[in-house]
Amino acid sequence: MFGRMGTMVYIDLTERRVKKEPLPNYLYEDYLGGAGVNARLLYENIPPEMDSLDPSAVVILGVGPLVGTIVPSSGRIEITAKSPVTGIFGDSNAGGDFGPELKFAGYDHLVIRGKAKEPVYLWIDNDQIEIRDARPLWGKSTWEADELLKKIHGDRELKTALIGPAAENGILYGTVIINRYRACGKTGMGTVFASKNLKGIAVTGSKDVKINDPEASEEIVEKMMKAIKSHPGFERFAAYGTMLIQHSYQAHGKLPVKNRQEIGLPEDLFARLSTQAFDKVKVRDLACFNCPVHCSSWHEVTEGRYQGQKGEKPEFVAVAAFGTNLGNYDMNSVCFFQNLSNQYGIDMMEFGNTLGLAMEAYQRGLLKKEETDGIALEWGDQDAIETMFFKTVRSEGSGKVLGEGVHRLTKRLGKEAEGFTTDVKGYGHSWGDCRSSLLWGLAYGTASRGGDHLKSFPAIDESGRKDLALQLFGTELAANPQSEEAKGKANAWFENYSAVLDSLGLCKFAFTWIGLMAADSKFPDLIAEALTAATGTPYDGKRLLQCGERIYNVEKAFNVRCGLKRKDDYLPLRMLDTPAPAGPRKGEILRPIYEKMLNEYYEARGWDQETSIPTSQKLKELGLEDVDQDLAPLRKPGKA
Amino acid sequence: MGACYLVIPEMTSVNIKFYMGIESITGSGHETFSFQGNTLGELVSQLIGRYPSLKTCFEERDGLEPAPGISILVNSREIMWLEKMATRLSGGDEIVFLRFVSGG
Amino acid sequence: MARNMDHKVLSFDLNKCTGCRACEIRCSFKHFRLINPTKSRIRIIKFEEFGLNVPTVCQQCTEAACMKVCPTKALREDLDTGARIIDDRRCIGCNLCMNICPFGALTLTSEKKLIKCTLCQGDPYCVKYCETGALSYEKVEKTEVEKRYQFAKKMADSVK
Repeated sequence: MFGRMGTMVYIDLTERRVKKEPLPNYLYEDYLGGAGVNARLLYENIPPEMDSLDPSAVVILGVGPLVGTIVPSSGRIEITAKSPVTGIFGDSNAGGDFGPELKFAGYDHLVIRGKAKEPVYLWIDNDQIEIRDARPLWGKSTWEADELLKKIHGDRELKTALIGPAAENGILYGTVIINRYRACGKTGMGTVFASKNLKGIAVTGSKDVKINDPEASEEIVEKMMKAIKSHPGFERFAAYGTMLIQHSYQAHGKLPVKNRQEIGLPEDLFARLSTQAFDKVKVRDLACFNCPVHCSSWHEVTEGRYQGQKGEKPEFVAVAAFGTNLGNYDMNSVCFFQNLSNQYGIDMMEFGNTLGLAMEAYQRGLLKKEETDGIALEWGDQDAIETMFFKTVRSEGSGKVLGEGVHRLTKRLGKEAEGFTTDVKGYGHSWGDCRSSLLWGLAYGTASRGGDHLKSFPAIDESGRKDLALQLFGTELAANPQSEEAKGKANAWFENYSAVLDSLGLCKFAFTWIGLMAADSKFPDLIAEALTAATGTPYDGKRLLQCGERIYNVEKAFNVRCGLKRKDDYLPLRMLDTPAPAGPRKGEILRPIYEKMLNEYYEARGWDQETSIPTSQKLKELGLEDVDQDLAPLRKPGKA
Repeated sequence: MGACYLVIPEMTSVNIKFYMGIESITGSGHETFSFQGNTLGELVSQLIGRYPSLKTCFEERDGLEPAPGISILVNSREIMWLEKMATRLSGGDEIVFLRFVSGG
Repeated sequence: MARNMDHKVLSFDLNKCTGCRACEIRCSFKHFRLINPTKSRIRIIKFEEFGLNVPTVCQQCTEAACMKVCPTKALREDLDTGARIIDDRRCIGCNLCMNICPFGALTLTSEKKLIKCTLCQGDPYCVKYCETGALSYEKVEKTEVEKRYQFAKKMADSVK
């Protein structure tokens, strides 16, 4: 088989059984691989009433057909399961070397179900797959466990996907960490591992990833690299990665401060979290597998309270999660918490959103010291943040509450907290203030995994690419962050495009943030050509995007079966009904515009305006007759 | 000197920020800057007078325009959606010079 | 044996290697038309615990142990580049060269084929696709010039 390895593995941890099967045609032709095949398998394997932590629930790992090829930035591993945080569709992907190694071992997908009696890990060495005793690893940080596994197997080059103590201790948004520094961070995939007594997976492989047409592949990759490197900001991306984003946020009036009570910082405070602050800790550039962008870097903190901290990155997400959103303006502490989050295996964003919510509740007197184990949750208090972090990852006292995430804390705090929560579909939403950039706001609202920016990643907003907006969406205004024009259409398009990237195993930084924004509307065709060259199956941009649309509709259908409706596609009240305190739309209310954008989005999607359920016509057009039948009883009589 | 009709030029004082490497061109991160006139174009030409290297962020097309990849925001709005270099400025406005980076 | 100073050598700068492994990918792709790092003649050893990546590849030794140990003289010098290359027709697969190489620079693939860096006839693919210039292919006397310059610049910057 070309591009793909052609084998998927079913692993039952209860029965301790491993079964290999050929990857079925319909799956890879219609769902591409990675996130797409995972989504379809999840839909088929999890009935709506099944609890996410039920032993018979599946968790699925998948690598796409371009993973481990010469296509740049193509190393992503996707993990998919029903989310224990939200109770709806969940998935998350990461870079690093694990995804390609799984492919070099000979596999495209792992479907894991059941629950082991004692902690176990999977050891994959080419054809040999073993369920091994993980008792010596349990309780160990992901960094310690990674090191131990290398010792146990006498193999310095094995690649790991591991959970940390946070998930083991019961936090709901536990992550799966890829080789120490990359995280499948969203929606609690690590917690699903923990519920199965699965510490993780170690893999080593030496098989070939075969390419159908190497010559064509080489030519196409040249074109891709040219496009990616032609972005005028390429060198800055390469030097700073996501550390640029806080500057863009600060400038555009999007930077969340103190749980989004404020937007943006005075320059003296901002400077402590800027690229200049980062320069003080940055040592050298580092990259994921086969990535020319090398957005990561090694850091070493050489002074102050966090002196001695070393590790990869940090990310912008950490700057917001542990920095601005908690009123803590210190790059060194951001490094510290980024490392801890990787070691303990916790989603930085959900933690930052949850603690931010708790701090605002404390500020408003809704949370008292008696409920926080005597800790004063004052903005920017590093002692308090540290204490709450450790309580959370250890599920101790009030940390147990924080470990349940934004949605459950909001419910606990009561009605008033609904006015300042970040809850979208049960997950805290991403960092940008939605009142200042409308397209990102809509993306957070409609994301199938709740409150998320990466499901759509509509980077046309703030890109300045009027021409691309015109080509793709028929109006330059689609690129204007403050115009509601064509935002529904654009969001649907970007969701489809992102589903394609996640399914092929490509990175959105290289292929959206930089690549697409430096190229023309034919960029999806170029990706399709690369897929054709790799696999031998003919694709064009249109077919590829239709696969993306099919995948997104399956994710949506999963959520519809979980009971989600139009009301679940809304942003929380602060974003919709509170006037923006600063930024380009200062003083304005988002709700009326949001309604219009959402209507236009459903229109573009072919989903029912009232229920948000995909129409029969749309599902049939995508070849999803079975899904259509599943959803039929959920539609109102006479509605289709 | 005979009769002198001195026109006192209009001065505007704005808050300026340089991000994403542009601060290393100007050697300044943020400052309050007073200039003669009331448009962005006037501001930029006087800024270039003060920081000659800032010229690398601009190019001559129909007059001076931002070079590819350079973004200028006036009160958090990109000037391409305003009046570009003719955008009128008022005292206290915030002008940020940065690069196009969308995200998150 | 003396080194021909006209020959270029592969050299690397540890501080520039990002660990992306494009060199491994391109090496296996160039020589086998597929992707498989275990079929790459250059390997990146990742020290993730301290964020360093070390390229390992044949040093094309002047006193090459592999050449000396080969019982069939299957290893010979490519006179154009100075690369030590394996003549597959002569190689009997005894693996002595692999065993004696102090750098682990000769590798057996899963098909038991012995491979080592040939410098791609003087146009090494790994160098071409090294994004940061961590790998370079230069005349022996030039290899450390850039490093010396960078070091000197750091010193100069610190007092300027």
